[in-house]
Amino acid sequence: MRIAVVIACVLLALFPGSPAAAHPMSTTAILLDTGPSRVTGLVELPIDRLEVALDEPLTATTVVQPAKLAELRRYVLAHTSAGTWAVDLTGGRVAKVDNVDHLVFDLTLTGNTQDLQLTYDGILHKIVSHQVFVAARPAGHGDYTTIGILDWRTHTVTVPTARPASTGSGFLAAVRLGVRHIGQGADHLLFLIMLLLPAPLLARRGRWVRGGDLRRQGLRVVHVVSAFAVGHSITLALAALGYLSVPTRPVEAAIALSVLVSAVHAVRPLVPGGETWIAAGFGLLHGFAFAALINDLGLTRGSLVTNLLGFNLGIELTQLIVVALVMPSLLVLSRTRAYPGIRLGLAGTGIMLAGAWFAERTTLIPANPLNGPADQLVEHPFVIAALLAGAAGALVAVPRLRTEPLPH
Amino acid sequence: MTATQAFLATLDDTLKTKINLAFTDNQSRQTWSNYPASTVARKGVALKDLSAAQRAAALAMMKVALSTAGYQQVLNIQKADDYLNSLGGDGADGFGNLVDYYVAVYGTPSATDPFMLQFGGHHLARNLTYNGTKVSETPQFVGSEPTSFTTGGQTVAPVKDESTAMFALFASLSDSEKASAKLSSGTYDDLMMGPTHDDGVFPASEGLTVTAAQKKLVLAAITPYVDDLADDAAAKLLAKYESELDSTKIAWANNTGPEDESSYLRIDGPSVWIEFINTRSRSTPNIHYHSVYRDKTNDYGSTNPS
Repeated sequence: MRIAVVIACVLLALFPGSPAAAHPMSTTAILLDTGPSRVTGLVELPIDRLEVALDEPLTATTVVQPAKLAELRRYVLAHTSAGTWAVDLTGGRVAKVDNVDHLVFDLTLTGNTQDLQLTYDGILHKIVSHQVFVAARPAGHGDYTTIGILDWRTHTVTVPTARPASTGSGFLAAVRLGVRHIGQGADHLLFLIMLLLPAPLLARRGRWVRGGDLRRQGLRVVHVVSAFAVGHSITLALAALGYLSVPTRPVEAAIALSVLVSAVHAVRPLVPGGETWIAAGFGLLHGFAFAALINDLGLTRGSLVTNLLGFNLGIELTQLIVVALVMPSLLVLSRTRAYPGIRLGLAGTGIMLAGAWFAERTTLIPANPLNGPADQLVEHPFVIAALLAGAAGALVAVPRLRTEPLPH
Repeated sequence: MTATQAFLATLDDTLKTKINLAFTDNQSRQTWSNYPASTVARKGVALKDLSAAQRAAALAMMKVALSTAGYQQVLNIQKADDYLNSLGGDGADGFGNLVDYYVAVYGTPSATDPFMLQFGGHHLARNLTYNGTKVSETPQFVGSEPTSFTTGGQTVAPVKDESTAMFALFASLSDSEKASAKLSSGTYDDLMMGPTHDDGVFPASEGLTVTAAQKKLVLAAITPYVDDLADDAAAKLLAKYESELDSTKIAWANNTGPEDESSYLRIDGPSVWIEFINTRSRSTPNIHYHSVYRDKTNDYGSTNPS
């Protein structure tokens, strides 16, 4: 891109969901993860423009020398304000954005008012034609959305901090957040469903075979669901209470991996009785992802435990609903000759989706072609449950498809 | 009008729905950019998605709408973008006369009701708005990287008329005039009123009020921009800007030489707004040109475009 600066609000209008991480060259980007009382983020300043603004030679090497870095941090801080919100700027490293060296700082804003007005004129105060893209995403989830472009006309942008009004607050809000998060998190649900696929079966010499009575099958479902709940509750609590901190990206990638493992396990048992261990072990990972969202609730010390419980309860409730919707159909289907085919088909779908997520989250591929279909699936849970139940009813009604009763 | 109708007549229904948009769709009308189409999605249809006949009709439409010089500039800037593309390098693969040149028509071509032609690519934006006898050719963006190059044995310098006259104007200033024309508000690395600055808000006027002796050179600098339009409409616009010269200012920042780093030049009148900058390049070694021409009262044919 040979162009210098220019452009702006079209991005706002045209790409409400475009990742602002790929901001045009030689512009500054401020990327924010928003929450009601705490907003964290990055300030990415192109070093060649910083040179012009400060009228001194700077390179990727000199900007990170401790004394210079401290001075540059003070400079950026002096050009950042947020009303009654406290502004903190830490870190300082060089990263390439669009092949151009940028100096990147970590920004933290804390405050108690709903209204957050971020005022920033770093570089802008000197280079009149400079532009600062400000993008935000709630609580570190999803893509950044451009919320404003600061240029010679305006140095202030309103940062959305409030959650949608419909959510309300307190315990119920936390429950709802939990329901919504896992309800929309195709990866969490798929993980669970993959683990439930072999629940009506028994592992024998590295293969899945029919077996077990209803009581035993039910017990295994309970084991899997409980193990997952225990696993993610532990890390959710530890991370939300601040005892553990894990970067989001590797966790997201590992979650994709967990779906892959559970889907492969549904094809062929990896460990006998493995689904309980897989559920518990990878449940730990999923807990970290849930914790990233807890920030969204605007926690004060008093409400943290309440929110944590509510959020977790929401997750468990949704899980139970999914199990209630899916499991009876699977149990019925497992009593037909079609079940091996159905199980392999579903597991194959799971492997594909998980593979695509993993590639996307490790940035092997820039965009996930399967996101559309995956979102469709998640948006119509009852349709899918009804289809599954319909299939179960239809198949079991055909006598020759029914399996022989197993000898006891 | 006839040429636009002729172009629209070559389109099938699918293409027509994409190309012929509502005149009231102001947001789309204001969508132009010098960023790659992959960064800022354009309206209308890319030239590569048109058949040879449709493409010819689109160019014929531009040929009728523009003056000989204006149309030649379209072809030259396309060549420059192709040339840039052939050099490769960061992002250059997104440019080229077929890939990122888009065409759209807003409203129904009519002798009485408003309609607009939108045509442009990386270093070109033509926004032509017709309303009865009134014509607006702004905002107009022209640029060229490199500023001059040789292709097929010919030297092409797409923005030469504009750049020559602009630099000549500022070269004519005495030291004291130059001092009072110097912008004090900061430094520049690109245009202030580039794409997306379509809300009619312009910077406060700064610089040197045009003296009687400079009028000729200022008018000579404005002319290549205005003269891109077919003759009769361009003459009217020029007459308007000429009558406003007494309250028109010229200003500069950084440098004023044609080859200098970041030379920034501006003509700022009650109506006319022209910015010119030598901006940095990434695929070529030297600076390259960006320039925008706006009309403070008549961008998109309206005093209140957004």
